[in-house]
Amino acid sequence: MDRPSDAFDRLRAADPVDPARIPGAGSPEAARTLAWVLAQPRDSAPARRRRAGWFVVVAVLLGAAAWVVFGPVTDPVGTACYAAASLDADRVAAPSGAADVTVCVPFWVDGLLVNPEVGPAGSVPPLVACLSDSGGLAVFPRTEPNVCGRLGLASPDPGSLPDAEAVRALGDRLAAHFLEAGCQPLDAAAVDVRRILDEAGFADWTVEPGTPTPDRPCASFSLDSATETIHLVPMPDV
Amino acid sequence: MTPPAGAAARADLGDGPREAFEAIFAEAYPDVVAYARRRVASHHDADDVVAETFLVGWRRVEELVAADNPTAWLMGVARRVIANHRRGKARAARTVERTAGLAVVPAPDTADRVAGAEGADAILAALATLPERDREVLMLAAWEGLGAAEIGTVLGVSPAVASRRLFRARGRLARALGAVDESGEEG
Repeated sequence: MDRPSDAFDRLRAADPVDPARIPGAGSPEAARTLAWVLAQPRDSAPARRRRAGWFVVVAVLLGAAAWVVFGPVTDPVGTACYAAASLDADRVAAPSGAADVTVCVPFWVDGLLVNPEVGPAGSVPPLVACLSDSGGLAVFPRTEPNVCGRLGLASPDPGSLPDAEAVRALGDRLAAHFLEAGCQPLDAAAVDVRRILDEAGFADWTVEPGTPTPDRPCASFSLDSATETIHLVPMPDV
Repeated sequence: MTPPAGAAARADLGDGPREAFEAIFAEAYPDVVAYARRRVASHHDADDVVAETFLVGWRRVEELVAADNPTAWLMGVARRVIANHRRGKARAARTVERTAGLAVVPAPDTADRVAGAEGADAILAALATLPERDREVLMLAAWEGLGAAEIGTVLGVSPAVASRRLFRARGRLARALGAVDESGEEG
């Protein structure tokens, strides 16, 4: 057999699964799976337990449209805006039909949601939307790249990856590092940047160190999100 | 492997959520099973992934039915389910290195078939050297037979981004294969 010359064609030929051995939709395996799935409640048990313990604390009118509730989210299609990246955090319920995180912004601006750990009162932290068990949006401060996953919630976008907000946060963190480090040699900077990338959920990004010269011994950086690369740039010691 | 037909057998919620789900299940089941088995070494674990994936689909049947390509949507769910399994295993056993290799470990009863394919060892070794993001986009294109739009659905990115990632990943795969081939010739 001729070996395909193109790497991608060779990968195609190396498929570890033989389609002929995959059970079809009419197979006993499929029937068992379907029966098990349909036997499960469409509303998960933990969610029901959580909601059973929830109670309404206060409801006030916010502006012309929004209504606010501290405590449980009882509207299955509404949006819950959380003060921290925790399902136990204080929360505010917004009207049904909200499609994105912006519905929560007024609650932060007006000080109904406050969390000194993510910013001063009145400021709006980076926000991330997750899907609650009942299909509504749950919006949290983005304190890490994978808030939804850590809370056991789905993301509105299947398989979501670090987005522009997370990349911006990474850039801020790298900038803070280099400000604090002063004139850091490029090899040491490469080690630190690698660690920061790993910690921030960017483990598959690349660090490309430049070559220092006697008059440019210090590392700075540039972030290229298109190629997912952090370039370490030699700079003068100023 | 043919691309999933997607909405070809589009279910209608007007028939009721159960009927709509069953129609999509019948269409997507083989592709979701294949997806899981390509990425999880144990068939038992793969079956768990499949069941959890369809359970999410059942609980979010309105979104599933509304998806442009329900099979790709389910693959996106399966991807997260597998990632959660890996995280759980890594936490439990601190075997990050071993679990990170799950994506390219052929299932036991298919290992002979892979070994029989010309150059399979080298290309799988090259694939294993790539970041997870590259591996996933390459496997989706090469093994699931998906196009950019469907890959975008699985990964939660636009078709343009999926295309760019696939392009870059193919380049990295070619370079990695060159290195593997070179080391094999030296050995």
